[in-house]
Amino acid sequence: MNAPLVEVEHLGKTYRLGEIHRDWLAGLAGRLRGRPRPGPLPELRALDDVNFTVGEGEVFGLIGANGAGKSTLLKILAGITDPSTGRAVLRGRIASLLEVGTGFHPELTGRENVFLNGTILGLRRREIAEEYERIVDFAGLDPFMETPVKRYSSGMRVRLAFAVAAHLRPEILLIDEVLAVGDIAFQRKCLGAMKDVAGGGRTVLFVSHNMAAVSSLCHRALMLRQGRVAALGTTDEVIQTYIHSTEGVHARDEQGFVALHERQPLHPQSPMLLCAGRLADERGRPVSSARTGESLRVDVRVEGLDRFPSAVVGLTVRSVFEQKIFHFNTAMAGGFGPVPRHAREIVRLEIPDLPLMAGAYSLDLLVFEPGVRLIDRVDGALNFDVIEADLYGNGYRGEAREGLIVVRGECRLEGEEGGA
Amino acid sequence: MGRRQLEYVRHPRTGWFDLALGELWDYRDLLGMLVWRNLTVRYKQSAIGIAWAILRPLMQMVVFSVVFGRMAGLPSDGVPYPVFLYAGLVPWTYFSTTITSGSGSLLAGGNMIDKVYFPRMILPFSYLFTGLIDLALSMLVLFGMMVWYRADIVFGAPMLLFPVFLVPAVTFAGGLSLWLSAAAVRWRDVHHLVPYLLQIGMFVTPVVYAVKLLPARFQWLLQLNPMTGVVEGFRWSLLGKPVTGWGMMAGGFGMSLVLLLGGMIYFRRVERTLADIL
Repeated sequence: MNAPLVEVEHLGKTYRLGEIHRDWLAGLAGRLRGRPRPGPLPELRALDDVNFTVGEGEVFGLIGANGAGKSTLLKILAGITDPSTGRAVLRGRIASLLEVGTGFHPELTGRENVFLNGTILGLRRREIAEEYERIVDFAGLDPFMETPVKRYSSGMRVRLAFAVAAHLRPEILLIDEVLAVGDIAFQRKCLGAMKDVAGGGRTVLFVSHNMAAVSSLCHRALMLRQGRVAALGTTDEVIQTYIHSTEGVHARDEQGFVALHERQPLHPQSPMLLCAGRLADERGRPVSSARTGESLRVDVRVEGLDRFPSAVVGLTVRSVFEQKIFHFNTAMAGGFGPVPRHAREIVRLEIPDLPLMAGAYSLDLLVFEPGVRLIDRVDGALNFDVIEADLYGNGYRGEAREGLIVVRGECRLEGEEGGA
Repeated sequence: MGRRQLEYVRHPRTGWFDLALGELWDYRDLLGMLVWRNLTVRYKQSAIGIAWAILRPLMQMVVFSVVFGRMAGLPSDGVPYPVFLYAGLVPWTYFSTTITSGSGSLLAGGNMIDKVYFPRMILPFSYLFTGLIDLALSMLVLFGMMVWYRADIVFGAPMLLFPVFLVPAVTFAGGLSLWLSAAAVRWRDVHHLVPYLLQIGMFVTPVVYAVKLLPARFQWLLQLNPMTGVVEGFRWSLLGKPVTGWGMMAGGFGMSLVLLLGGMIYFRRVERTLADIL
């Protein structure tokens, strides 16, 4: 049996917090006046005793909330920074893509930047020259190669940078979510291109926030929580752990609610009725993602709704491109009926059969009096991922490329009249 | 398995003398690209472009010739003052621009350092070579001036030797760049200090004056400055000016070799946590 390509043992990394460049003169002056010497700086364990291995040809996902240590881990593997404890062994040529287009210089032309970027990523000039035609071809920017990159659109820049990256020939590829600039289809194309160009069977370590991408690309995954391994195993198992972990992008309270206080009211006089929101599964446990075809429950904490008897609470789901996909509100669900209202309440909206393709979405929350006025609205109040599911029971997995909405249907063959 | 099995181990590094020179060689193409980038980027979107490399020392020469040659009347060992001055300004300009850009190279390259691994020493080193290209252009002007002023030029073997004196210049500038660039990451104060140090440096190097201006018993001090050897060497080989004190100047070169080696060791130490503190 071959040794694993990536072997990580008891890896740890400690950062010293606080300012490194503390003003030495001011400190000295303070001490002369009898102030005590400041104590040692507090420390942060960004990584703590991380162990895992990745075999040849495996696509391995690294997930976790912001600040869980994913990027630190990748930087150590890439050799950008040293670990504080433990070790990692990588067997094979490494390429790391922590950013698309590292070292791109706006004043240089596309052609010049291909060579600069390529050598920064560790290629020899001769290798780039050999691949040059293919890189330009892949990027589809042939007419612009003698134009300074500062005149490129951001899309063109990404295409060029990605074309260079795709033509690296590493045995181990470390990718941060830089590639997540596009949707999952773009990510799939990027990873596919890298595997194809490099001749298949490459080992890939993939960091992402996009559960949909991880789920469809990775064989196995590792979830980090505060620098420690929270889950390690098949992608499905690890994602299951992630869904039920309540830490997310926003600060949440113990019930998983994301506070919506820190914002400006719509108008100076508008009341801010929307206090907090969360996603929950059918059993009421807070979640940060949902599955296609399963139930999505949104709980909204409101204050002062009793002052607006005819008010409707609703949500609008948007794609990553801010496109509105659907809207649902309490009036559609038949309203609350003649129940007494309280000053503080939780409005629960439930969509039993979520018709969204796998991907990243956000939702706006709003309170309005139909046909009269908008009372309160928070755009992008909650972010969530939708993870693909075996919706049709036959293993068919849709992609966001095919569309954002999932439908069910039937098909049958009927002989044409007079045909047979 | 025909291909070479590479193995990289990431662990906390502790040693002192791991200079990783082999790796530097592996990345020589990146060094070349950076040298070329430094050069191109500087003159993009400027009307006269690379001519600035010639113009800058030339304008300095005119100003200094008026101030020190005409007004102060400094002696110039029998060579027309502008030629004498320019032969010193060329290596000095190389030194000071290299130190200025080299000492800030890690701060300027922060974005790259944080995102991809490559031997960081390449960043300050790239400016050593960029400067040499500027210097080559300035040399053309110097030769032009030598003909214009009909200086008593002895076209001969010594003239071919002037590149030899670039060796101590590159060594000293390289060593100092390593120290300063690595220190500047931790103490931004370095960044503020360098321009002043260079200003003082120009006056403790015989650029605008001849060594003989100093009383004989202090001349050795001046000669210990590695840049004195470079400037004197240029004047000796190009203008045929007699020079004394080679021994002291060799000592200065020796010091800059030590400085370079020490700089490499210090730089490699700082490199380990560079991405964390930048």
